[in-house]
Parts: sequence; structure tokens; C-alpha cells
Amino acid sequence: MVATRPEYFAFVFVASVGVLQLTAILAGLKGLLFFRRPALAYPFSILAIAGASYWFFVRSDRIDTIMRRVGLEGSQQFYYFCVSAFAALIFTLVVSSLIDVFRRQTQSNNCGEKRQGLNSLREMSYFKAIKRSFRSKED
Amino acid sequence: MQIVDDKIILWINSLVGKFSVLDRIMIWLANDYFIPVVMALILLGLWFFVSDATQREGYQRAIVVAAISIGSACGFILAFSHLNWHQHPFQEHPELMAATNNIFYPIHDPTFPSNTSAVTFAATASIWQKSRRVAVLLLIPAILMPLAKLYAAVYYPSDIVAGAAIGIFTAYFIKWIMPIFEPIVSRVFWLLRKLCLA
Repeated sequence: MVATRPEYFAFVFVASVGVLQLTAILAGLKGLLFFRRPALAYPFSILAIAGASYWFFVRSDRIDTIMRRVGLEGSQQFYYFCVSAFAALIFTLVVSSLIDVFRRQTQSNNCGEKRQGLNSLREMSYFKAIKRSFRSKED
Repeated sequence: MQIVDDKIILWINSLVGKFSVLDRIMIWLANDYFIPVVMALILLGLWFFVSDATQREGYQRAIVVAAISIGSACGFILAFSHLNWHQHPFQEHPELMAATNNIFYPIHDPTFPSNTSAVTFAATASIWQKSRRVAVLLLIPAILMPLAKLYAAVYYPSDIVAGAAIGIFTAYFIKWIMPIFEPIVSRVFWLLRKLCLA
């Protein structure tokens, strides 16, 4: 048995969600966060990265058994990483936007400066940002 | 060159089994998945990390160059590997097979040039052209993974140096030809900004 595609996909997916959450806290992209409070967001992201790594490498001594055989080739790894990281991004955008919908405390959209592109996620969820982006006639 | 390669590989492999902590570290570093995923996750984080929009686009373009360079470096390696220069150290020195089995496993891919160092150095050199400070984050794993494979007697030093040279050359070449594709790249970034992803 080798390190299988579904296992690699799941590992990269969860670790990527963790990295996206960690980056969102550090870069102030509130619209991407599942938890607004850093006291929850930091442990969640670190747990996602560390937990996924433990599950993939360490459980059942996989690093000394399964991973000592030919597994996914480099090109396959590259492909599955791209697909899985993209899926993690979509998951993060959808979940953070849905959480925002259910969050009673809505963000203020009346900021003096209208941010564009990724920076709009500093003040609003992805769904709101993309709605505003396509309504805007500016390039 | 073969004599120097042999001397280095035999000296390094004399360490295998002597320090269990070093062996454990090398097992992790040589792993097929650990370093590649760490480097790719750093690039993923970097895509979103920078606050300033202009600076961020520079980094995102460097990440695009890195992704194309990794793919292209693999292509170059495939072309070179058909020349079949020599066998793996564990094949030419059967006494090293135990070290290979302790740390990694006997791979079947061609040995010259090293695919591992080509890929890791292609990614690092792409980011290096944008920011040396950030590239150091990638340079450390880029050096450590091929070093661990050297320790495992999977590659000769010359395989690793040649792979790294191909990776670096590819990254600079891709960056150099990117202006040709500027109209397409600009359009893609306009779309990504519209989608609030850049």
C-alpha cells in the first residue's frame, strides 16, 4: 500500500485551510476568517496544519513504512496539490461567507476608502466583495 | 568528477546509523511529501500575505513564475535523464543499500540530474528574483531535501548540483520570457482582482 491520492488530497486540503486561516489573521483579511477572535483563529489554524501533518505522516508509523516505497510521482503530487489547495480556497471562501451571513454583527460597508480586489476582504466577506466587484463599473 | 562524488558520498554515508537523531531528521527531510508540501504551502500563504496591493501583485507574479518553473524544470530533467550518465550511488556501491533503506528507499527515477534539487531550486530562484529575504524561507528546505537524499545515498553531489543549476536556470529563463506573455498575464490578474483573489 502506498500513500494514496485521497489521503494526500485530504492532507493538503486541511493543511491549506489552516494556512489560509493563518495568513488571513496575519494579513488582516477578516473576510476570510472562520473565527474573528485571534484567540480562536490562531489555535484553529495551527491545529489544522499540525493535525493534518500528524495524520498523514506519523499515525501508524507511516513515515517509516508506507512512505518508504514508491508513492505519488512528482507530477502527480503537483497536480493533486493544485486541485486540493484550490478546493481548500473555495471551501474557505464559502464557509467564511456563510458564517458572515449568520453572524448578527455585520461589518460596516461604509468605509471611506473602497478597497478593490483581495483587499476588499479586509472589510467584508467574499460573497459581499464579489457582489460589489461585479456591480462596480470600474476596472 | 566520479572520484570526488564517490569520496563525498562514502564519507557522508559513513554517518548513517551512528546518530539516531540525525537519521530521524534525515528521514523527514528526504521524505517525498514533507518538504515539497511545506514549500508549496509557503507559496500559498505568500499569495495572500502581503498587505500592499502593488507589492502583493509582484509576489503573486513571482509565484506564477515559480509554478511554471517547477513544471518546466521537470521537463528539462526528463530530457536530460535520457542521457543516462550513471546509476544511483546505492546501485554502484551495493554496500550503501543499507543506508538507503534506513533513510529512504531505492528509487527508480534517473539519477542525473536530481529532480528533487531542480524542483526545489526552481521555486526558490523564482521568489529570489522578487525578494531575497522571503526566498531564504524557501532556500533552507531547498538545500536540506537534496542534502538528505545525499545522506540516503540516492544521489551523488554532482546530480544535486546539476539539478539545482537546471532549476535556477529555468526560473531565470521563465522570468526573462514572461514579458512576451504580459498581455495574457495582465488579463489573468485583472480577472483575479475582479474575483477578489489578487
